[in-house]
Amino acid sequence: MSSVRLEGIAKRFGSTEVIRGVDLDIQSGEFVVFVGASGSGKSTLLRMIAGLEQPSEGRVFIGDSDVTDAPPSERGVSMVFQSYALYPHMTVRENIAFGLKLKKTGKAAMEEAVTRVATMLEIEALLDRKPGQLSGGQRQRVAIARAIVREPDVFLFDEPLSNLDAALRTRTRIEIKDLHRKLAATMIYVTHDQVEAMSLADRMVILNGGHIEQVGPPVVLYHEPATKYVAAFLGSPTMNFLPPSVVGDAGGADSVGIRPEDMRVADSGLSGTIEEVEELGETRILHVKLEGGETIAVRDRSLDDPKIGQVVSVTFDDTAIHRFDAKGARI
Amino acid sequence: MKGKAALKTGGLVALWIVVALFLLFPFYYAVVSSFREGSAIFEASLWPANPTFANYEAVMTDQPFATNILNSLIVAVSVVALSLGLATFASYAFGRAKFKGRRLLLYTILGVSMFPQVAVLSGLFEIVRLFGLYNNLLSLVFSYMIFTLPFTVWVLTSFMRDLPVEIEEAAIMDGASSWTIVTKVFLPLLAPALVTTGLLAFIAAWNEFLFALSFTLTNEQRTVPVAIALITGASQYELPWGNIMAASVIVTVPLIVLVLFFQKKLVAGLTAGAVKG
Ligand SMILES: Nc1ncnc2c1ncn2[C@@H]1O[C@H](COP(=O)(O)OP(=O)(O)OP(=O)(O)O)[C@@H](O)[C@H]1O
Ligand SMILES: [Mg+2]
Repeated sequence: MSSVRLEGIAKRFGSTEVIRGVDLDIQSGEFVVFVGASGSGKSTLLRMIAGLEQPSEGRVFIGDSDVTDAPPSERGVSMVFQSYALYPHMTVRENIAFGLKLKKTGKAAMEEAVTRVATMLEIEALLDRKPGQLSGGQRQRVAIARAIVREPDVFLFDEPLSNLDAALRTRTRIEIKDLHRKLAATMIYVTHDQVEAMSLADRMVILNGGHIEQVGPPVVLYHEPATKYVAAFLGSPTMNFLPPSVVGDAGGADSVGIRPEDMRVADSGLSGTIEEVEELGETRILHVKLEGGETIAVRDRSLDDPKIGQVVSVTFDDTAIHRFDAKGARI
Repeated sequence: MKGKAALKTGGLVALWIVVALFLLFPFYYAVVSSFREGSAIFEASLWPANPTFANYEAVMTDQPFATNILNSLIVAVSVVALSLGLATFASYAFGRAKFKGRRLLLYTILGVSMFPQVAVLSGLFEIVRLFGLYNNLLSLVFSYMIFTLPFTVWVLTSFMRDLPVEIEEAAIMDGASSWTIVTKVFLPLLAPALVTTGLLAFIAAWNEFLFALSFTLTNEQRTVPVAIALITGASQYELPWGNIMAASVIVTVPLIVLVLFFQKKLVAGLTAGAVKG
């Protein structure tokens, strides 16, 4: 268990700047999730913590030591890769034990460690199989077991669940959360799935074009997004952005945002016509084209039988309004 | 429908038989001739009337043929071992590391293999003499690498490039050095490619004639192809076809055994990399 600190990290590949000016403090034992659009630099940032990539500028600290120039194996970190990256020619047992063997761990201690993590991840029955004989979910467990067995201070995950089907993903997500509690280890997790991010994270780091937009607990980011980008990134359907004229007190805002779930159909308010109806079971989403020309999403199931083309009025509470200035910063 | 399919299968089988006959008949005739003695060799039948081992005995006793086979074996095995060993590490560098002049170096290596053997023969001869390797098997091991190394390096480089980067990175995270990655992780994954290229290198070295003829002098240092070419009859007007056929059969059999032995891996090596699995 260790803290991780990034100071003024920048990364350039040739002349393209992929990460710029990233400062981040991760507490010991914390679960931090990096989220962002594809190409925002999540993997690159994670790989610099792992030591697989060298920052062009800045320092990386793990615990109290500056590890910027240390090789990956001396940083006390383990990584779980998106493709699992198991050694295809080795059995599950050999896969898990490979790192220990390289550290010249004794045979008995190694055997014991492998059994312990295999029990923890319920893969004892698979120990003598090769990766090719495992399902995707089982491979994922082996990959996690391999990461755990070396008892690292910091765990790094790069989209470990993205190759699993939806049901398995949800289940494994909970297991990873459980694992975090059991091991009380520092975990840094990369995903582009915001639900996964919100469910796992103690704190979320939202990356946009190589810099950090906002860092904070999921609820804070969701309810008090620091920028328009964060506001739009979190939530599905995405937040509705409207000109300040639609609200009474714009407070000098350049645009205002209201989440679909904060809007409802009412007797009076902004009027518009229903363009599309999404029936999702537990909820219903109405896409309404306002008279001003903007299309908004409204999460509301109060109407009995909404019809496309039907004229409705939409309203919201003042407390639900997010105000942003011309630069996209929260007011 | 069914009749059509049967016709198609039948046609395919017939075609294969024709191809097989075409490919195998020369070898079959060599085998048959090797069992014939004296003037019987000029009979045009498909089966020896009085099969005899006399040719085989003659080959083994008239000259140090066993020594020649051993020489060929030593040279071919050394060439394969050295080529694969060097090529594995070279291909790791070419396939994985980024360094200046990588492409240039890679094409230079390919370029080396493009010169016809005669073009480099005299130059090589000087080098061989300089190192005092004339009439020494080492000269052959050294010179054969000129044509085995380029293609082993090229083939292994393309295989190495196709190995998933994440596996290498996982090994790095596990604390593996470059040496460990190559020997413990990549080498087993490259096994099919190693078998294929190794076998091709073996065949090339086993059959090589020109260098072997030029760099060896005595019967005891000769390899098999040269020994066969220099088999002489009772008089200068007689070519001992029977002996030559027997010798050819003796040296072809090891190759066939090798190919059959590695057959499974060989096919895997020839097709791997073509389709992402
Ligand atoms: N080795 C490299 N050479 C050049 N550019 C690179 C390299 N690795 C990454 N990049 C670039 O850096 C940017 C960030 O890449 P990165 O892989 O960190 O994104 P990501 O946020 O992980 O995206 P994704 O969600 O698609 O995995 C991308 O624009 C990518 O093209
Ligand atoms: Mg990524």
